Amino acid sequence: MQYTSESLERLINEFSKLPSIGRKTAQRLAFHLLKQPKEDVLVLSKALADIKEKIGRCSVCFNVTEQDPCVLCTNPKRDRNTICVVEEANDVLAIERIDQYRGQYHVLGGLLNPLDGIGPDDLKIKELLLRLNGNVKEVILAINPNVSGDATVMYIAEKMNGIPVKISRIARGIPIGSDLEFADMTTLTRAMEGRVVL
Amino acid sequence: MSIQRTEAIILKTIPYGETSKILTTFTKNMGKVNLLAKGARDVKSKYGGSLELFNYISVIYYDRTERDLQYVSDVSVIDPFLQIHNDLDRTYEALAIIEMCNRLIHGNEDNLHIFDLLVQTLQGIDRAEKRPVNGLLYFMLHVATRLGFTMDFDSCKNCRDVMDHKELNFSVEHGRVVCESCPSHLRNVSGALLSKESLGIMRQIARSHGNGLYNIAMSEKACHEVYHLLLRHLQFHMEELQNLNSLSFLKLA
Ligand SMILES: [Zn+2]
Ligand SMILES: [Zn+2]
Repeated sequence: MQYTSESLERLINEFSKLPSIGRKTAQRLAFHLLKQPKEDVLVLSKALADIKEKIGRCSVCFNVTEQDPCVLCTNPKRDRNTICVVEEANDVLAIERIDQYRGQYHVLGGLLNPLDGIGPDDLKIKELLLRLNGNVKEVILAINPNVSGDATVMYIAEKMNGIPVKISRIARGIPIGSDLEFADMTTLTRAMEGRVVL
Repeated sequence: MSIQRTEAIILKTIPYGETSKILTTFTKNMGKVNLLAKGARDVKSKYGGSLELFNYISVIYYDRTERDLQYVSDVSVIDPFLQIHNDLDRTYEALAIIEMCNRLIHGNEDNLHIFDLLVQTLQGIDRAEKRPVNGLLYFMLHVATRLGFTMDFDSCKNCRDVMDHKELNFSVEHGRVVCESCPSHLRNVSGALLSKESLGIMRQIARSHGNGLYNIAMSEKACHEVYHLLLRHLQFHMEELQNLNSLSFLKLA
């Protein structure tokens, strides 16, 4: 197919590079923007440029931030005794949304993945261990329950062996509202392991 | 389109879209098959933990031969190998094995002898009370044999001497040991030196049938020697096994 505008074609190409956007959706988005007022489109383009110009990584927790250290690390109201370790910055957002956790974070920037050659040095694990000085009393590993997540949890636990800091992992098991009878073996086994005393 | 039901081991998983997953599976009957499991990463997915790496599953999928990717219809777990998931060394050993399988197996080939070896090895590593690493050595030696690159540790390639008490050269090219009284050019062809201990271990691993495999004791030095010789042999004969990503994670590496 041939487009009558090179700019339009370029925009459609760029949109279709985005995750879960196919050619048709890309086309729809491009034509939608074409119909919008110029100011609105400029606001969007500035927002896009800003994420690359203004956003960096916090040098303490490696979360995305516009100031270093980030607002979560500098907020005096947050508990400095606990660090919640997550895979990516969007996991911080997920935990912040529940409004229950008041401690610090640490973003690993990925998980151990031997099949793809991603090892401990590719993640912010050394940096995590360096944060475990006098103040920190507990490390909570809020890491996805899959092979990479399990390996990462075991690796960090091994490295923390001998450091007098409590280490825990968030529970794995039956999702709320679902039926025990349909749970698979792994989920049910993990749920039994993660049972709590009443 | 037809509906297929087969047993399979999951060799690789990659996230796809918002909640789905693409699985590379080694099936019992159809070789390597790529499967799309819709919604598998959703918290409330019906698949739960059944589509994790290493899992031994029974899967039903819609087979459209003209496509590279088939759609999963239903899955049940035959063995989740939970002990492998609970132990970092077992995880690394199992990853090395499934990465080798992923490189060696192609679609639509009958590989039942390799599939059985894989299932048996993963079960062994999962259940072993000690030395799960022996499972990795066992797999490496037997996968070579089953693919036609036999390793014979019993007698000299040249003079057939059984040579019980010497340090020996193993010719990777010929897959056999060569004794010291035989001409040196035979020894030097892609040769590697094997200590008496390593030779004994190789013979035990070659003969063991699962039972007793995990009781074979060895020094750390011999374990390294055996592993590196097996790897050299595999990589000499099978180009696909160059640059495996997961090997550098092994304690042996
Ligand atoms: Zn921070
Ligand atoms: Zn000889």
